[in-house]
Amino acid sequence: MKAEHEDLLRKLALNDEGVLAPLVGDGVADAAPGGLDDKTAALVRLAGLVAIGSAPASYQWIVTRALVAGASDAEVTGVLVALAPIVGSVRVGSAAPEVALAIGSELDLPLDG
Amino acid sequence: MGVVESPGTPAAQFHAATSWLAPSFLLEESKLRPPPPRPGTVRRAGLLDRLHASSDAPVVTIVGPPGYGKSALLGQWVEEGPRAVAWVSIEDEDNDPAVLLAYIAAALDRVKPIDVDILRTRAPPGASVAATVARRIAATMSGMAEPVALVLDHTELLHNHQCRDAIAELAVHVPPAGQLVLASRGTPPVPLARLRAQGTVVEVGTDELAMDESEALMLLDGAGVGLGDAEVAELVRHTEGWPVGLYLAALALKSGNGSRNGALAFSGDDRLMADYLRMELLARVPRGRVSFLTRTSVLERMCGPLCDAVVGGTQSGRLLEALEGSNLLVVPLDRRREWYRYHRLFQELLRVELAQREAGAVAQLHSRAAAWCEANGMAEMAITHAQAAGDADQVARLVTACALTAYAGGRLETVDRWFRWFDERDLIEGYPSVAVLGAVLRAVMGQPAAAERWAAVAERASIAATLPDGSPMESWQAQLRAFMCRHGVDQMRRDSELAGKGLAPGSQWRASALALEGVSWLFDGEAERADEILALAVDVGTDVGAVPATAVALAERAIVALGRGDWAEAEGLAKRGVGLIHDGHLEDYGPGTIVHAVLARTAAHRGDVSGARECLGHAARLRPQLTYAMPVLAVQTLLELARAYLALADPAGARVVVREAEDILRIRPDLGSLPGEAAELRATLDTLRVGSVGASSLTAAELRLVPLLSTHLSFREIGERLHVSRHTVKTQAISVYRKLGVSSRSEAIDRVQAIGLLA
Amino acid sequence: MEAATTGPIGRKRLDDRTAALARLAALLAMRASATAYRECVDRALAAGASIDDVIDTLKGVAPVVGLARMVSAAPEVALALGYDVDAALEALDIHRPGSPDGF
Repeated sequence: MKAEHEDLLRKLALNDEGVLAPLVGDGVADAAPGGLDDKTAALVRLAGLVAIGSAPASYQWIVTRALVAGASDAEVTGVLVALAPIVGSVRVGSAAPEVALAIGSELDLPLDG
Repeated sequence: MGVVESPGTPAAQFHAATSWLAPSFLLEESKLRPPPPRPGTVRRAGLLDRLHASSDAPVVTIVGPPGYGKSALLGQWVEEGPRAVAWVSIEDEDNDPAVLLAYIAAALDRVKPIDVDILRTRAPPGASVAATVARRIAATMSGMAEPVALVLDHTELLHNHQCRDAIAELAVHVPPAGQLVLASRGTPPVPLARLRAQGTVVEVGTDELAMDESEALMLLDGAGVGLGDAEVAELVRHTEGWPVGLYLAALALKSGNGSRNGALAFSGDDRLMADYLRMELLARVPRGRVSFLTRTSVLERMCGPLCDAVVGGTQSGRLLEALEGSNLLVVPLDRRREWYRYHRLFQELLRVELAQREAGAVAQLHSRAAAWCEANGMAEMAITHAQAAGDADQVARLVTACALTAYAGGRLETVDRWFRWFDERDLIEGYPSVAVLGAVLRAVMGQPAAAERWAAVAERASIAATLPDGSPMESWQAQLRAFMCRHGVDQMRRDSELAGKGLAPGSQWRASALALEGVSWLFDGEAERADEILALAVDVGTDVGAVPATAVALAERAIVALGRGDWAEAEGLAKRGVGLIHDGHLEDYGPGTIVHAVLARTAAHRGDVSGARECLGHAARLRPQLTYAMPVLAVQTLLELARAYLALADPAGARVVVREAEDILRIRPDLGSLPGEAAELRATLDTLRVGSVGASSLTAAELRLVPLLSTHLSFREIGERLHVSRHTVKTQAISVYRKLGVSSRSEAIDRVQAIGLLA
Repeated sequence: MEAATTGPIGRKRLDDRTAALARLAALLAMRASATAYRECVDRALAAGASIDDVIDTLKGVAPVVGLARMVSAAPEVALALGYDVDAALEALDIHRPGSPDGF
């Protein structure tokens, strides 16, 4: 396989905005397309990721975005709570550890130590 | 460990030349050269040919059980080899990266004087030092004019993870034409599978180390024992070519009544060999001398007066000389024939023998050794013996006196071992001075839970003792309370004032107490009063030589100056602080981060973006050490860092450090004006759009991972080091790559080096 | 081959290669299992698709299936192509421009 393919596949797996943006639309790298503020935009996207079930890298990416935009831990976990009745506890349950890890990493909590 | 020094001995001269090492830490000269060749030693021609022919192999391992002549073989190789060799005989004390690095530096320095600056800085506690240590050694080796081989004998004694990882790292990155040679009783700490796959390792094992008949014949000849070919063959078969077995057999045969038959059926079995030693060797030594040998085997190093103290005699010096002359199992450590040690294997056998003859006396022997060492100014050697003797009072006294110096010298693992000794035996309660010191050291090393535990013990104690610096116990307790600020800043002021009044004039803690008192006034808006006290803290700190506290006090004064808008003054003060930290080799001291934070701000203010980034990079390396165990300093530092990131128009970076400050404030809310300042910063940040999420937004957890990413360790192994799962490591690594804008581990390593996140 | 590309009433049917790539696109949208990706990619390659084609399919469906699917599918498709992304992210010897030695 060509090195450029390998590079592309790794960057996709990392949720690299620079690679994804041209593929799925410029809104990815742009923190807040439209009128939403950065924080709300990130939390809304987190909801979308949870609803369809996503890779850990995606959760890590969007949670970092949310926290850096000023969201509190309670707001991030609040999204999960709010989604449970809609997407079901199985979806939320599988996303929860990844989101917690993303927050924990940002919080510096040893979650599975 | 150390040896008694008088000016003019080689070790003393060497110590003077390497005074960057901690004052209490003397390099043991004899570890830096191969064991002296013994008369009659057989030249291992076949093995030597193989080693000489392997001079282009980056790694050579020589692995075999005790008594296979590994050290002797390497000694011959060094003797004959044309290449420059740096030699270190590993000992137990080397289970501290700082100590190991110091010895390797000294060994390389012998080959050709090196730039000690490369090798002196210690790595941050808690982080992986393996990569740092290995990189510095490799850089030093490759910087030498001629290719050098680094020999590490007895690597089986290295059990410290960081030291083993460092050797493994070095094995993978031996510089071109350089060589790493490891002798070990067990599997050496190198990634053998990987080295084999790369074809970069030459392995010598037990089969090769075993002597064949012609070598055995030479050995027996050398010992003055004439045997026929058949008898030699029989002996080799019985001993399986085990050199020490052959040697002991030769001694026995020489004495005339050794058995030439099946009694020699042993090979590398310690128990059988111990029996054999007792039967064949000690049986022929006068009773008094046997007990001298077994009793002094508790000593790692021996001199006449020390042996006298241990065995209760007066003639030990002469006896040691006689031993050296008569048999070959005592190794002189200096040219003046004052200090000796037993041949390692012999010492182990003697200890087994001692345990069988008079197990009850062992503690008392150690106790006498400890008393002699303490009385003769060899405090650290005294600690080892006092621990073996189980004399906690003495250990506590010695550790209290030695810990700060050893810590300041970067020997974190050594200090940690001393404190662990109390912890493992549930002895902290009885030794409040140890608890105070332990708590402070854990706090500055970024281990808040342990700091809390030790502090709780220290506070419960109510002992009217006078401490080594002449201060009463209650002043130390007050200083600890002020430093950890567990009950708010009002209490911190009362505690720091109490400590300031009670501490002895020469106490190292005084500057720190004054600095905290000054900060408490700053929180009350009394900047002038704060500055006066902080200035006093700087003066006192300079007087008593408390370098870290002085640097922190200078940074606090700089913060006061920033409050007045006096940027030039602030920069001048912070630069003085950085100078102190640099001269004191305290670059990786957690509390010193505040100096870099302030300097980052003043640089940014001047428009020096790259200068500010450099300071922020340095601060980021140390950030994992900033915890709620020293809340005032940690939050102050993080908020200054946030202001610096804001000045560089990096809101994402600012948010991460504000979050870390808020996490600490949640646990320690009563920190004067700091919660208000944090809220203000957050409000400012909320008005800003987030730009790109880059390297500045690496979190403390991710920063902790960074140095480990640069090692050869797999994600699973990194997880083991950090006590998290492989999945966590992988997820965090991916996050690190994304924030660094790279897509592979190698690129990440290059990137963190480029931005100063890796020392 | 002949029979496969020509339908009973003479109209051109979807060729095997395109069909396999189309199936791959559907799998990407559905978040399929690793086995499903592997089978599908094997079939596509057997039917004459190149690795470039597979990668282009991945890129091509991106706007339709969205970011999250791309991120979770990329390692699976890579593995089907014989490239272990997880191992590559952990390994130390991936190409590194401008760095002569191991450090």
